[in-house]
Amino acid sequence: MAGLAPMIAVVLAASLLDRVPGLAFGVPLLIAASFVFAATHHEDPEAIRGAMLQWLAWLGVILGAVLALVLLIGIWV
Amino acid sequence: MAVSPDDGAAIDLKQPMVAMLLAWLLPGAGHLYQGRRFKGVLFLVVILSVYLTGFVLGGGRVVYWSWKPGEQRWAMACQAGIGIAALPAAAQSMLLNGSGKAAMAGGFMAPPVGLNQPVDEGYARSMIARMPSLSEDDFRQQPRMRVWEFLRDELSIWHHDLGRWFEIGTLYTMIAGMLNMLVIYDAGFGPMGAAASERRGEAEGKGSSSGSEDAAD
Repeated sequence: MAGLAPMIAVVLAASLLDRVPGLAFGVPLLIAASFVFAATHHEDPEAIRGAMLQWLAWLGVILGAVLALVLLIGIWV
Repeated sequence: MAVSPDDGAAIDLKQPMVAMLLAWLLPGAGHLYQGRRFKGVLFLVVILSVYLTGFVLGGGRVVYWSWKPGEQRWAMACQAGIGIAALPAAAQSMLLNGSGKAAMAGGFMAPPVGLNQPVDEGYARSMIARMPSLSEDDFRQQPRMRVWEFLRDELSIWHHDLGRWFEIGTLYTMIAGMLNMLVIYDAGFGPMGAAASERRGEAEGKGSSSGSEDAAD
């Protein structure tokens, strides 16, 4: 069952990319924004790297939730 | 002087206003001036990469100034945050809308020519040369004058030719400019986490001092 999770994630990501053209272009922006947010809150390179991953996760979750909401509205309306 | 939120070490901000100006002109330059090399190089690479990627994706057309009524380019308010990399757009806008009615360098970062807008004959010919869909029939030539009147809307042609890349390129360049505004703040005032931890420290200091006063009473 646990082996199915990556496959499901890949299928979901592929269908999302198919449904939202240009979605992949948001990924570099997310990474860049995470780097800048992290570096403007920390000074130590190690701390910046760690904070970058945290910012990436936060931004990914928040923007992913907004995207899911917009997609759901698109399906219903 | 600012304080690192990570180890409490002092950060020499040198002349903060100079650092902020440098950070605006070139992302990361303010940090390099302050000797904060890691962050300077990081900002330089990340922000300029985003900006240049957007510029290329948008066919080199997404960064321009236009404040004509009805044709304002609001994206420029964000793109201007990138500094020197967006400054040619201001010069081109002034040249094209000035008495010369022509932009330099083949229209690099020049605003689109609007419907019925007069342009210099030489600039009209350079437009025809760089846009295959244009011909001399798209201009009304004024007899004995070197000014031609454009009979189409260049921005519509850009949208037609570039499609969604125009929007994606605009988004990238806008985000690069906005991210650099955070970098400018960091160059002038130090890390944002430091400000928060300083405030927290002050609050705790007050709390503990009032607590000790209470205890003394």
